[in-house]
Amino acid sequence: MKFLIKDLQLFASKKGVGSTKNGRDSAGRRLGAKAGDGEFVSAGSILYRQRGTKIYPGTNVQKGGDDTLFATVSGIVKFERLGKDRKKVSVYPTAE
Amino acid sequence: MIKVEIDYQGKSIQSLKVKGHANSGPFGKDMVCAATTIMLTGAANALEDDAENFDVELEEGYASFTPKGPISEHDKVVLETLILQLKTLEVSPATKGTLTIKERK
Repeated sequence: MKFLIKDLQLFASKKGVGSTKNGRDSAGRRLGAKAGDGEFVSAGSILYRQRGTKIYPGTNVQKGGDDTLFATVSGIVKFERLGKDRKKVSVYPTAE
Repeated sequence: MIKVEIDYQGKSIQSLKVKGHANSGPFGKDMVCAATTIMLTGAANALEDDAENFDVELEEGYASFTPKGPISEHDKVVLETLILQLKTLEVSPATKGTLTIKERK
């Protein structure tokens, strides 16, 4: 007998699926608001973590090197509109 | 899908080619593929004077039977049986859609 069956799957689709080079992802950066509207915060508190300026710094608020917004005085947090379609966050000291 | 192409010259078979993949199951469990492999291998072995009269190729995803000249009655029956078996795969409910046959006269 001249022809022997070495592989019963001559007409099957390709042999097994290779491994994928994907499947990696970085840990979540927990961005977003860290203090709510109307909340009392102390000076230096982080108000908003972001990439770029989704929210702009308002009164008594500064922007850090990684665009994080933080309070420069203790007081009440206020999220406000900035122009037509932007937002800013301010901190207003409470009357002592 | 496995594609079978049969070319005739008059009544005699000029060539029979089988290409493609059945995709009727995962590799290693593809039953239509296994059936086709067995039929083709069996037919290749059944040909009585394949060395002189036939070019036979049996590879992964491809098989062909090409007579070099007039063939014996015996070998005609072998090829007709093979074609009938392949046609059975083509029309049977359990294997429909895994194999097609194109005959060119």
